[in-house]
Amino acid sequence: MDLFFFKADLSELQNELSQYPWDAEEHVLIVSQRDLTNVIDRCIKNEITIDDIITWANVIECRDDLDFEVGEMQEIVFELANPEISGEITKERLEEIINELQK
Amino acid sequence: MPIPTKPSPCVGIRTCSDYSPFGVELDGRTLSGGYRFGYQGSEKDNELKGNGNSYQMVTGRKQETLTFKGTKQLVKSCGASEHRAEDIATFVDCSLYLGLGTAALVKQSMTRVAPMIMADAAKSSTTVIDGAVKSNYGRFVSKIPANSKKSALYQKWVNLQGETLNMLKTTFAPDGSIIHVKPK
Repeated sequence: MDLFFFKADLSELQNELSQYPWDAEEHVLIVSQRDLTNVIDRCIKNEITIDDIITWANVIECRDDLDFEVGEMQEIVFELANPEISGEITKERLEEIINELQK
Repeated sequence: MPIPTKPSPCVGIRTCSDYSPFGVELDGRTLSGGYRFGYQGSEKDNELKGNGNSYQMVTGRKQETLTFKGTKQLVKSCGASEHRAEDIATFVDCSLYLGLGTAALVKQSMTRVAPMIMADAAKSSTTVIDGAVKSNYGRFVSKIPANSKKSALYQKWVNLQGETLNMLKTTFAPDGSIIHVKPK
């Protein structure tokens, strides 16, 4: 859960996660809409940077041990992880994403 | 007057064995000081794998194109020695390559990383992979975002035990050029 609360440096958490095996038959963590909303909200409030959220999304993308509460969240994480494809991440876009999550 | 000395070789027996007519070492007639390579200059079988274990070497050079029935995804079975790209050259135990993206992206990736094993997905035969490899493939498919198919290629290298050895994401620009390759 440290990853979702940015309790340590993101690169440290990234290194720590890389120690875990890729393969997991069971999900260790289910990411809720609230978890995702909180992270995005922190970015809107400048507590973390856009680069942080891009790195964070890349870290959690496609992990066997993580699952999402709602399937659409996987697409949101893909969008955040790949701004070169999905378009620039702006605060306006982040607010739109939060609105989509809260529907 | 001191007597000049010179080093002299000291000869000793490090290992010797007596065998029955059928090749079994005789109890109490075998002497061993831990010397390896005692069998025709090679290690004995138990020195290689331990007592009671089995040992099998898999070269993983089989070339085969596999698709899963009902999907358009291409699964490629290949040997690591055939990969050429620097980013995957170190994965010597590779036995399976899984690529998910459009057929064009997979083909482009194949062209880049493994020209010798490029295959046309449309012409490939249908084969079912069972067990841990199939389970790994199922997890892989479920994790790939639907929106990514036209612009990103997710690649996974899996051994015959179904364990992932490496995973990469390649992101493509609209003109087909590679924006970046990120390890997962």
